[in-house]
Amino acid sequence: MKKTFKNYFKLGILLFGISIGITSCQKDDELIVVEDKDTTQVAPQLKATVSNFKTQLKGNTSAKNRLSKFRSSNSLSRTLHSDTYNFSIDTTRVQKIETEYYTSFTFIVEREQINLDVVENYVLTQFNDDTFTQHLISYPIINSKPDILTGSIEAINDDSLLYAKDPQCESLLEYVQPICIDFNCGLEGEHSPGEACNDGVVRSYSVCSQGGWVYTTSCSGGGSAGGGTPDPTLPGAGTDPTDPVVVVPLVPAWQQVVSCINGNNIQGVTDPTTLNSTVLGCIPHRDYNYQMEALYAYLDANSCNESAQAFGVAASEAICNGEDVDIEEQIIYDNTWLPYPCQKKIVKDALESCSPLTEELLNIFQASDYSNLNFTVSNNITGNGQTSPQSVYDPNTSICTTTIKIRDTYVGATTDISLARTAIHESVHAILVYLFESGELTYDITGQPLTEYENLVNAHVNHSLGLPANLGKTHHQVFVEYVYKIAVALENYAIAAGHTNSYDYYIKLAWGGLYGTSTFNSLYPQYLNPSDASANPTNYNPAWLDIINTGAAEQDNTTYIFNHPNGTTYTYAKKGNTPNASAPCN
Amino acid sequence: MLRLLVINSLIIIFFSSCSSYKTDSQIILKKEIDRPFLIDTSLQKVHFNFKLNNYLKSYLLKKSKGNTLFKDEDPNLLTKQLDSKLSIVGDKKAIPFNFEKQGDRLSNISKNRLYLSNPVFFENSDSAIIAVSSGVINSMDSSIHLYKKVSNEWILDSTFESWIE
Repeated sequence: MKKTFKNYFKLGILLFGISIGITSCQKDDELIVVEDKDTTQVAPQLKATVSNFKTQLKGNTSAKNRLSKFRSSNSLSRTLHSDTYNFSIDTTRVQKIETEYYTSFTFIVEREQINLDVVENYVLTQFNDDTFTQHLISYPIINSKPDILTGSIEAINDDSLLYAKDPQCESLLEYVQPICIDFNCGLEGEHSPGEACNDGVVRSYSVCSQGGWVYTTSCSGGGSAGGGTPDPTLPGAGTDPTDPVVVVPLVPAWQQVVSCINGNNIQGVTDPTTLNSTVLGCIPHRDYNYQMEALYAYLDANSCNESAQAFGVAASEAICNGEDVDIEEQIIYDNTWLPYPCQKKIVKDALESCSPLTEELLNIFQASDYSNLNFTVSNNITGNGQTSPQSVYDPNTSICTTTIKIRDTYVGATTDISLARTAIHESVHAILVYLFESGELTYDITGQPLTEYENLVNAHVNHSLGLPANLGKTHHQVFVEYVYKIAVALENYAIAAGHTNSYDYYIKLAWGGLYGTSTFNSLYPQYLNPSDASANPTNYNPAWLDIINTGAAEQDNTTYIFNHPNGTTYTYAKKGNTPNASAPCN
Repeated sequence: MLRLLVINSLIIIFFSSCSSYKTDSQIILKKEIDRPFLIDTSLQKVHFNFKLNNYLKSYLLKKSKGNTLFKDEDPNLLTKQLDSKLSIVGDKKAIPFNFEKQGDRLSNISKNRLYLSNPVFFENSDSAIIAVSSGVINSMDSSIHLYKKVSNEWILDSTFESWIE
């Protein structure tokens, strides 16, 4: 009995010990949570947007006056420079953070010497009582992101950076909870994410990123300065200039592009799929701000995946070579277009005209990350335009590029309508090339060509084997089915360009390049009486003449008059515009 | 006497090689005319010219570098063959055509065109290339054709560098 009691006593002590242990463990956990609460801040209620200087400081004379030390060298300059501070700020990308108590403006700092490893921001904070603070913050890039915890901050005390206000008394703390920032349409205007921009296209978006806050302590006696609280989430925080101010690193678009493509390998010299040192030395230039913005938006929309990176490399190289890149559509207009800015605009406008055909084209080259379309001007082709019947694979970027060439003398002389027609015509070739190469012209299971594309598929197969292939003939036979689609696309371009011609006019033009097809010759024989070919050679079929001369008048940018043997004088006047030689384009 | 014999022999060799070049060129050119390339086969006449000589010269000097076909060839020597004047003789289907000067604009629209370059023979003389573009204006079909001499006969081996208008 005594032994039994002893055992129970021992068991009781054991259970007591265990319960004490468990209790103390729980207390430890609670303590950890309490400690976490101290360091894991949540972002206060705020509104964060990124747009250009004009939009962000609209009507804010006080803040503009405060920035008077920054001046532009000319009205078109995208930066403002301060001789006093010895740096410039980028006015194309300004981040505005609005809280109940203050509004801050964050600018990207630009210096003569570009540093790929650091993001530098200038933050101007305007409190409700119209007092201001200025901070210069430097964030090291770590793991492709600006690092808040190791960032350095100094206050700018009015006139000179040389007199920083006790920099050791201010530091940065980081929020764990991300702050979401709304980016405007091309950094212009005031559109919410998802809202259509002025041109009807949705380009505004939201990005959530880490943020932090400026922790100000009293240098002399410890604690927070001026009675302010270090916790900006508490009510009343931010009412005093010495109170914590929320900061979110504002990274230049080019640096985001580099981070996305090169990752930690920001020097980019070892891997051909990364941006090389030449490109890295080029893209930070302010002239490329706009293109880098667009490229980053594209990369971000594609989650910076492998194929998007590959396009990013090709696009960056093209941009640095002075070529124009339609980033959204993955269409590259190389630098041969430089002498023809308005003609290039016509081609772009034609391809972006709203029609089922152009939508199909854009969907192909926009949706397929591994397919690019390259437009070039050539002095070494015989027709108005040419398309390569196969894409060229680049093993470095894994991208297949289809090239369209337009003859230089034609580009420089023809009307906008004719050029648009040629661009659309050649694009249909590119569509067919893509459809063949992606296997969409064959039945999935058997690999046999779809009936209507049989000749075209066989021609491409022969061509891929290096065998003779009537590619032109087979392409244009299929094209006959596209005549009305080409006409719709052309009409939509023309309407947008201010032309008011009938749909029939564009059908006539859409037959251009198809004069040799049996369908055309059947519908529009050159002679109504075949014997006229030798007996009365100018007695052309008026319907044939109408199509031929309508196309020729636009192509040659002129008027053709024909005295027909039937007694009628036919006049064919071009209706398109002569593109301006330089911007502004008509 | 021996000296005269040697000179005569050299002259004969020179002219025979020249003759061989012309003969081989004619064979290849005729083969191109006879290829079933026409967009509308009901139109039989072929209007040809040699306007692709500049194109092939440009290709050889700029783009042939990465092509293994040309690894043993000197592009500058090859392009010299593009400077000689050739013609196509004895073929009723082929009509020399200078479209800028012959015929009026409308009558030229429907002509079947054949733009050619001179055939360019490789150093071993068993291979040759020729640039060819055929069809109706603004819907031509272009490529470079590689010919090889097999059993003493020139045959089309393969095509590359294609374009469609």
